[in-house]
Order: sequence, then C-alpha cells, then structure tokens
Amino acid sequence: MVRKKENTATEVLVEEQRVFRPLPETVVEANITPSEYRKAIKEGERNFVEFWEKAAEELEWFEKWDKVLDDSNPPFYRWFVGAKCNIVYNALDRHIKTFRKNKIAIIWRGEPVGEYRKLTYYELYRQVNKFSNALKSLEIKKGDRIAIYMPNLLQTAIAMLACAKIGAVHMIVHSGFSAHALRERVNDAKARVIITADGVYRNGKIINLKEVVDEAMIECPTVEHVIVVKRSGQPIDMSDGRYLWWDDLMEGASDECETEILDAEHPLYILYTSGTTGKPKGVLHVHGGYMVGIFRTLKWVFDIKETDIYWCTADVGWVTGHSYTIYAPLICGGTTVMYEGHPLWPKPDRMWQIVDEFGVNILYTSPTTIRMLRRFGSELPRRHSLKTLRLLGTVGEPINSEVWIWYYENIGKERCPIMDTWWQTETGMLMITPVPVSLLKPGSTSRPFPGIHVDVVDRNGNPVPVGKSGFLVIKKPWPAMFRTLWGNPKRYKEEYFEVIPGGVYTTGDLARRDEDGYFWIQGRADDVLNIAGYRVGTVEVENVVLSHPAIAEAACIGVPDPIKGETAKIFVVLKNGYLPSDELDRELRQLIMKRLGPVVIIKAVEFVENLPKTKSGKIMKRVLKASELGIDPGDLTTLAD
Amino acid sequence: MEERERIYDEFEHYIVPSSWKDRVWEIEDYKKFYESTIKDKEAIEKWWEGWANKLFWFKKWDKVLDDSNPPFYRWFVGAETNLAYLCLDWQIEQGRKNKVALIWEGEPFDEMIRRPKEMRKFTFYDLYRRTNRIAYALKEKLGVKKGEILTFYLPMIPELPEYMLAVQRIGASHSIVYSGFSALALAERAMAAGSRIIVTADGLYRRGKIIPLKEVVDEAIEICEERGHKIEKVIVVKRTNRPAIPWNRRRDIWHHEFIRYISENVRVETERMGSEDISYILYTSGTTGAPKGAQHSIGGYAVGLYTTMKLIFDINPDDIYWCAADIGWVTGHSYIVYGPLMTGATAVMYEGAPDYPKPDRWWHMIERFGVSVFYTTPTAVRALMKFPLDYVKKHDLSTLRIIHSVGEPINPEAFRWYYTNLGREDVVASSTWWMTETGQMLTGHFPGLGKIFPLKPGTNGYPIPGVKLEVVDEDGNPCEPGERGYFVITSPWPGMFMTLYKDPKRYIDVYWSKFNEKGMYFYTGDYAVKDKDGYIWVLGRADDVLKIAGHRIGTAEVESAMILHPAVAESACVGRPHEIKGEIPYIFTVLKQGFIPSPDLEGELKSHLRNTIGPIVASDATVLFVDMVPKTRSGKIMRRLLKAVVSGAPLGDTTTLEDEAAVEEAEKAYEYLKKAMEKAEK
Repeated sequence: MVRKKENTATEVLVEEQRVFRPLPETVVEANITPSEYRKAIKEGERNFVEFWEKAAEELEWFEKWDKVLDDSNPPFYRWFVGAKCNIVYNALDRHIKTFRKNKIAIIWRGEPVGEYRKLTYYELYRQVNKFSNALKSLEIKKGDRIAIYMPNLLQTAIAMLACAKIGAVHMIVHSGFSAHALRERVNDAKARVIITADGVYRNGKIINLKEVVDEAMIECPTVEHVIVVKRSGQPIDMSDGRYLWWDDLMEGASDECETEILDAEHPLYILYTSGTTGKPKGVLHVHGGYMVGIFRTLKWVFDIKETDIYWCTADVGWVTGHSYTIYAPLICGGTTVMYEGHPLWPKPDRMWQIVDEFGVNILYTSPTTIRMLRRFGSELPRRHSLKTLRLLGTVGEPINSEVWIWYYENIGKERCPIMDTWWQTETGMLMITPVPVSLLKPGSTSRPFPGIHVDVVDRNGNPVPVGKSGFLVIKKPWPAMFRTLWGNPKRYKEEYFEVIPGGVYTTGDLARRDEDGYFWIQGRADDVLNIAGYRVGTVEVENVVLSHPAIAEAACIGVPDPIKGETAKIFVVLKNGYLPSDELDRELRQLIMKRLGPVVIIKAVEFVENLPKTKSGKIMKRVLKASELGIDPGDLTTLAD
Repeated sequence: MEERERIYDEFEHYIVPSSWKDRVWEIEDYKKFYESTIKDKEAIEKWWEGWANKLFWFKKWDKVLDDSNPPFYRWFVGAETNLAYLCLDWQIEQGRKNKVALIWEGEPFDEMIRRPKEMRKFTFYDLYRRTNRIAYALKEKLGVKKGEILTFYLPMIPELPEYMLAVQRIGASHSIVYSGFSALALAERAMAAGSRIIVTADGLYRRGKIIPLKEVVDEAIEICEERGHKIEKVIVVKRTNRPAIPWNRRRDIWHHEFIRYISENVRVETERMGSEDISYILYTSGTTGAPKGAQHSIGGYAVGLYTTMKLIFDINPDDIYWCAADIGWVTGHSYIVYGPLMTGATAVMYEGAPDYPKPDRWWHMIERFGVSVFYTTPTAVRALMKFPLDYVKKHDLSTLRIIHSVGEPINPEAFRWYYTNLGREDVVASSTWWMTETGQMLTGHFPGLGKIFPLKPGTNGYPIPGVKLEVVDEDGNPCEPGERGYFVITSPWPGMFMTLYKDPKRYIDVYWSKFNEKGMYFYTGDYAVKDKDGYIWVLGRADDVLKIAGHRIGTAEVESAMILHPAVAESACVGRPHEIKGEIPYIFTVLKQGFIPSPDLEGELKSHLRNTIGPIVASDATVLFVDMVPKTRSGKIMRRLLKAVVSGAPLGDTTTLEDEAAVEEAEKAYEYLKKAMEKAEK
C-alpha cells in the first residue's frame, strides 16, 4: 500500500557515476545484439502487441490465437485469445523429439555433501507422465488446485509440471512457512491435495515438513489426500488414510500421458504473496502469456544457450523459482541447476564449490545472498576457479552499488555482466532489466525490457522530471502479467490498478529515472524517511553505510522524532573481523554526513548480529520498526527463522 | 545336397519387421549398390572418403589409401585427428555439451525399492572435464608422453572410459587387460606392451560378490620384476572400499588422490595425432604361443567406427544405445566407448552380471532407461532364454527399435526368441560379424541406409558397403552359393588393425599367408557360407569344424540343430579324436528346467539330430547331459577347454587357453566336466 503523503518525490542525494561496458566477446556471442536490442526497444514502443506476438510465434501452440490482446475489460486483460497450448508441451514434449531427449534438463544438488542427481529431458518427461497419471488416479481434474509444500526437490519440479500437464493448478507454499500460513493458503485456494516430504535438509538440519502439514490439516476441509515424498527417511506416522507415499503412487503409474490441450488463459498456478497488511494475495498466472513472457526474457536477458549450465538459486517457493528455475529454462531447452539447501552449508563457499563442480555458466541469485557471502570476504571465492561463469544476475531487492561491485569483481572477475533485474510475483517475468550488451550502472536495474512501458509518476499519475523520485508504474499490459487475485478480483483491481489514476499498474515501489533512461529502484514506497519534510529513501542511507569497509549489511528505518517528525536509525551487521566500537559509530555518522548531507539525521547506529529477513532474503524493516516502537509486528509468516 | 538344404532352411526365410515394410531393398538393388562401392580401389576409396569427410580432422589426408606395401595398408595418410577430441571436444562444439554421453549403472541392487544402488550420468562436458583432469595428472605428475602405452586392468566402471580418453588426449595409448584375467596373463601383456604404469581398482562387483583386483596386480608386478620389467606406478580406483588393501607407498596411488587438487576447469592441449599413430593395442590369444597385440590406428579406426555406428545402429540424436559387452574386449573398445561417443550418442554402461539379482536385470534396465538400440551376444540371449518368459514379459521393452548381436553366429532359435520377445517382431535384428583384428563391424543389416534387406534367422547379413568379403575353398577359389568354406576379406578396410605390436612377421604369417597365391586375403579363421542372395552365414571357427570321416560340419550347425529340440536349453559340440573317423561329435547338453536326463531322452535327441542334420553326425554322436556349458565372460563357449576335456588333455596354460576365460572358472569347469564325462563312460 502506498501511503498518501503530500510530497511524493524523494530527494536524490548520491549519484552513482560508474559505468561498466560489456566485453567484446560478450557482445559478439549474445543472443541479442546491440542493434537487435535497439530495434526491439523501438518495436516494443511502437507496437508492443505485435512485439509479443512475434515472441509467441517461436513457441508451439496446438491452435493459434484469434487475437493477441483483448483489452476490452481492463484491468482484466486476456492474451492470445482463442489459442490452445500447454506450457509443459513447450517445456518437455517438444524437446523429446530432438537430441535434447538425452540432454540434462535438471541437475539437482542435495544439501548433504556429494548428493546430486541429473535428469534428462526424457527422464523428466517420463516422471512427469507418471505423476500426471498418479494425480489422475486420485481423480484430479482440470482446474483443481494442488498445494505443494516442499523446497527445491526434483519431485517439486515433477509435481509442478505434472499439474500443468493435466491442467490442474499448482499452488506452492514455501517450505519455511508455518502451519498457520499453509492452512490459510490451502483453504483460500480450496486445494484438494497437498504434496509434501517427510523431511528436508536445511542448514545441516532435517526439517520435518510432514509434521507441519499434520498441524495444518486439523482444519483443511477441502484436502482429500496428502502425498508424501520420502526425502530424509526418518520414521513418520502414515496411518491416516488420506496420506499416500509418492513412491507408491508412482510405482504402478504408466509413463505415457497425453498433454492436456488448454485454453491460453487457463490457470497455471497460484502463488500467494503477503501484503504488508491483510490476508495473503493469491496471484494467478496462466499458461499462454506467461510462457511467452518468461521464454523471451530468459533467452534475451540471461542469454541462455544450448551449451549453458544455468543456475538460478531461488527456491521454487518464490516466483523466481517458478519462472526462472523451472519453467523458462526448460522451455528454452536449457540445463538448469536446482539446489536444495542453504548457501552457507556446510561451509560458506558452498555456492562457489557448486559453480565449479558443475561448471555453471550463468548464475542468478539475490542481493541478500551476495551480501551474506561478502561478509566472509574475498578469500573464499578466490579458492575456486569460477572460470566457467559468463553471466551473473540478481533479483529480489535493489542491489547496493558496493555489493554490486564486489559481485562483479570477486565472482564475475570483471568479465561477467550483471543482470540486475526488477520484477515481482505479479509481473511473472523480468520487467526492468539490462541485457548482456547493455552498459551497466551499479545499483541501477537499467531499462525496461522491450515491450514493457514503465513510468515514474507522482500520486496523481503525472510523470516526475528526470532525476526525481516517484512511484514506479507500468502503463501497458504484458503477456506474463497476473490475471487476477484468486477469488478476489475486486482487490486485484483496487490494490493494483486504482491506486494511481489512469488505470496504470502500481508496483508499490519508488524509483527514479536518470537522463540515460536508466531506472534506480529505491525500495518500497513505504521505505521512505521523512526528516523534517525531506523525503529520503532508506536505500540511499543503506547504500552509503554499506560503502564502509567494515559493514556487511545495513537496514535503515525511520523513528518518530518530536522535532524533526522522523529521524533515521541504522542497524548494521559487521563483516567478520570487525568489532563494534564508538569509533566505528562515529565514522558511520561522518560518512553519512559527508555523502548525504546534514538533512539525514541519525538517531542511533545499532550493531547487531543479524537482521530479520523474509525467507526470500529481504530485510524486514517492518519487524525492526515494530520492535523499535514496541508495537505489534503484524503478519510474520514470511519471516525466516 | 539334400542334407544341406535341410540345414539351410533359413536361407529363404525372409522376414520384414512390420514398421519397415515400406522401406525394403529388393535384394538385387542392394547388391547393385553394394557392388558399386567395391567395384575397384577408386570406388572403395570414394566410399570411405565420403564418411571420413563427416568427421573432424585437424588436418585432412593427402591420400585415402596407401596400398603400396601390402598387407601394411595405410588409411588417410597424412591426416591428423585425435580420438578424445572426436569423442568429447567435437561433440561439445556441436552443441551436445549437456547431453548425456554415458549412463553408468553399478551392479549392487536394492531389492526393496527395486532400483540399482548406483546409477550415474555423465554428460559430454562431464567426461570432458574428468578426462582433462586425469590427462593433466598423467602428464604433469607422471610424465606420460605421446607414444607411451599404459596398461589398464579395470572393471566396468566409469573410470575405465575416462582413462582411455585421457591417454588419447595426450597422445599415449592403452592396452586393456580384461579384469577376469590371471596375474600371469596381465604380467605377460604388460611386459609385451612395455608399460610402466598400470591402472586398476581395489576390486569389482560380480554377482553380488566382491572380487579383489589389486592383489592380482601386485602378483603380476612380481612376475614382471622376476623377468626384469619394472612397473613404476599403479593407480588404484577405489570401487569396493574393501579394507586392508596391500599397499606399496612408493609405487601405489589412489586415483582420487592422484587428481584431488587438480581444478575441475583444468584443460590439457589435445595432441594432434597422425592418422596412423597407435590408438591402442589389444591382446588376443593365439592357439599357440604368446598373445598377439592387435595394434589399432586412429584415423581409419575412427572412420570405421563412425560409419558402422551410423549404418548398422542407425544412431540418431535421440537414441539411447546399449552395448552390453565388457570394455575389456574389442566390442567394448569400439562400441561402448569410441563409437557411441564420436557419434554423439547416449550410451549405457553396466557393471555386472545380466542375471543379478534376478534374470530380468537387463530387461528392467531397458525399460528404465528406455533403451532404443541394443547390442549383445547370442550366448547371453541363449542364457536368458532359459528363464521363464515372464521375466521378459513383465517389462515394457517397446522403446527398442534395433537389436543386434555379435560374438559368434546366432542360431535361428535364439534369433527367433530375441526377435519375438525383445523385438516384438517389429525391430531390425541381426547378427553382426567382426573381430578384434577388424576393429569395426563388417557384416550386418544397415537400417542407417534408410532401407533394409529382409532379415533371415541366423544370418550375419550382408557385407558392409566398401568392403569385399568372400567365402573360399581350401585353394582360395570362391565357393558356390550354399557351399561352405573359409571366410576371407579381400580388400582393406579403414578400421583394420595395422599390425601385431612389435611383430610384423607374425602379422603376415597368421593373417595374410594362407591364400597368398590368390592375393592379399585376410584370413579370418572362420568358416562360413554365402547364400544365393549374397547373405553371409558364419558357421564358427574353422578350427571348430568337425571332420567326420571326410565330411566337414560346423559345430555351430550341430548346436543350432540341438537347440531346436524342446528339451534343450543349450549345447556345445566339439570333436573327439577317433582312430577311424578322424573325429566324432561330442555334445555337451544343458536341459531346460523341467527336463530330466535319461537314456530315453538321449535316444530321442539323437534321432532328432538324424532328422535335422543327418545320419553322419547322429550315428557317432555322444550326448552328455551337464548342468552348464563353460563360457567366457563375454559369453563364448570355451571350446578349447571342452576339447581338452574330451581328448583327455590337461587344461594347459590358462593364460592362452581362451581369449576371454576367467582362470578360476575355467579350472572349475574343467574339473566338473571331466568328472561328468568319466561318470557317463562308466
């Protein structure tokens, strides 16, 4: 939700000046060359509908569309009207007829050392067929909702694809969520089945998921079956007749299954995203437009090639895991790595070890992961070759320029461009992002993807001048956009399309655009300090603090001040080897003074061991604020640990 | 003549798999096409050059075939390539980097969940990286150089192909000694090859048991040292985790420690190898004397493999191919490792026994992996035929589209079983013919041409285009269709061995001198017949021909006749010396489950022989019921062992006894059969 304040533009106090050019070999090899990119931008500006139609032509459809975009009933847009398709046909079936049949589709890496599995397209195809038949044997039909409560297991991918294959709708609940959160989502979606595992590995521990499901099941009237994957193998109680073992269901199932011919607008999945307030929102995505959007963006932005080994570290519990760990790489016929566990287990160089172990070429992760790894210094990545990497990416929140530089120098060895991507659960696909041939500015998410119409406006919908901050909005529909909130079209309309006048989609983020048309995301619209009338993004403050060599992580919140209205409080986590001291406190204050000026008034700097984060790694400033002010922190289902 | 026609009933039994019925050659058309590829030297060169052009070369040839100094033929003279480059780098360049190259399955099996305990997949990239690490270690740590020959004494584990490719990359060569061979056999081969490095494993799994290997190597090294040959380094792959392995700290090193600190991303420059450099030597035992080291080339060998993979296996990018042989034999060299990899195929490799833990292990694997092209031996087929058909029926084998066999002639019964139960009468099934010395398959059916000629139960098919094969009489004159004779190759072919390692004279004597009055004929040592359509029917080793009172009858013919009887599971026939008749047939016979040996049954079998093969064989034949027929690991009947049994000779030097015999098993079988025979004769 966007707070209604009179003054909507924040002050921009620091300007990042560094620019990084792609290496000549990157440009030569890229799936989209600079001139093609410029052409695509122009095409997308001139006629975005035609632009997406061209992308759709590259995929396979059972029947083509009568109309690319139906915008007769905004904001309920429909794409590829009349077309018949299935995302799984594009992700699996079509590859089976080519040499990709025996190509590795998924490299799955378990958290325990030495455990991995590689699945070819053919094997994945057969497994998906088997599980599709297993679901059918439970009388699951087109349109039924299936909850999946598992982390990055192979079975999670198989279950997702099997649901999509038969036209059922999957609804993944992150495996770190509580029984309460699971129940709330299962009941909202009226799921008929929950798929879970006995236990999963996380940070060296076995987490008993089935126990959480048991607790949720106390009040899940729509759930007829719980399918349990044997992962950790510890003894669990399966006496409840509704509980079935995954392996038993798979055992007798045939490995042949027709792919359901679906309407392009047929629901593919629901993914709940927590609002800052109120009940979680069931974001609904569909087969047709979604596959076009994620296919086009992965191919161009992550430049995926036949020979690449691509690793998106996201958990399938998040939209990134849906779009860019599973669906898009498979549609492109790529080889995607899926990692079950924690990036620091058993040692903080686990990620670099995996990169070398499989020869990963493209790595897509989050700023929070990078910040976490940066804490351990540059020595760890230096112990690994990392020679195979050629492209990096981040997503989830704005990446601070210092962290960007660290990533670029220590992981990318000043060779790999960084795709700092901005998008959301609701957008389904990358929206503002560089491509490998772009000039890169650390901390900027670059320009809108071709065909995406973005603007920065004030709360009346008027564009703000270049360099000024405002609300980030999207002005035209795009194919992978969510179609509604499950069971709540009213909220869909009100929360996203009626906040700012003009029928534009409100992202809830603040941003500014510089003179080159590059976007700088400044955080959620509510992450803004108002110090004596000056609006300053908390991200700006954090950026400055993070540029200090001792600082690993930082979070800035506003606390009420009788005189200034609000002042800043900064929580900092130190890098290994640094200790809190008054001197450091002073240094940080001086740094902020020097870089941001006297307008930013610091109430306190607090040295902490950890910052509260969501399971997807975003710092939960709301929690910091609540505990600071002694108020109820609200919905904590997304809080990690 | 009448008798012969009965035996050769199958000559005119044409079978066309239903899915191929629109893609069948008229025999005359195929003949015409075939003739056009062999009509003169120019045609032969043109044919093989066409295939060579499909491969990668660092440098192309100046000349396709140099036949100026026969029988030392040289193929693709002046050309440069590298087998490891063809198998890995070139595949990666073609976009197959993340395609699975090798699916390896270990023998240990979890009966609870009915799954193997170990199954690993290697992409072309995985193999590329793993072989680069090994190549780096060999080169930098042990100073292995171009031209050096390393001896491998390894079981069917992924490290074997990895070491093979690693030595190819750096221009060295390998000599693989089958892991069932004795210490003496290993020592002799290591010395003959002049190896200073042996690569082995701590042990191997076979039928659920762990069999030690390292100890055998230690013993072999002692023998070498006694004879003045020093083995400097032994690299040991940890396979079984057996405790208390004898260890010489100065000499022995674990494979995992050997490569431990070498980066996954290390890259070793590929040696540009001359077409005529040595890729490997493979020892094959002669009837007499020391083992013969068949020395193989690089360029010609690659062309031979690539062509046959395409023509006979019709390898497509989406195939899953399984050659169920051991890499210790030439079949494994050519058609588990080099052939499939250089065609970018996905190949299955299995460590253990076909009937462990149950007789359906293979069928289960075909189902689990979705194998589409399968290659095995007639013996394995016969062995698995003995078990109830349910073991086959309960598996979905519908992915199979081509099933070939190799190793010995397939008898029509076994063909029918294979074709019907595995091939659901809808696949291309044939028996290919070739040998260690030929390097590549030389006869078969050729679905890769897009059209096939009809199958016939028991035939070896047609000669491959570009190679002239002939059946000749004692004087080297071509036999009439239907007339049995010696099988010879009358034109050079690219995959051929170049010589016997360090023994060119023996090369000429053994292979090229028998018909030297007629021309440069390669003598295969096999006995064969050509039918009127030009199909080849190999009858067995020429040594295995019975000479009964002047009549020549192949032991394979007798065995084929025996197995037609419903009570017979398997049989092996050898000639027993006889004062008057020269030789009389002695038939070791294994009955199917449910049949009990009796004099009546013996009488019945003899009359069955009389009806099928004629009185000459039947009247003097002895049928001995036994529980098993001794076979080599690759499934060939141990005929020399049987011969020793029936002629009352000692077992003899086991290292040269049979090409593929495992010593202990051979000794056991010898004792068992001797006793059975003595008992029967009392």
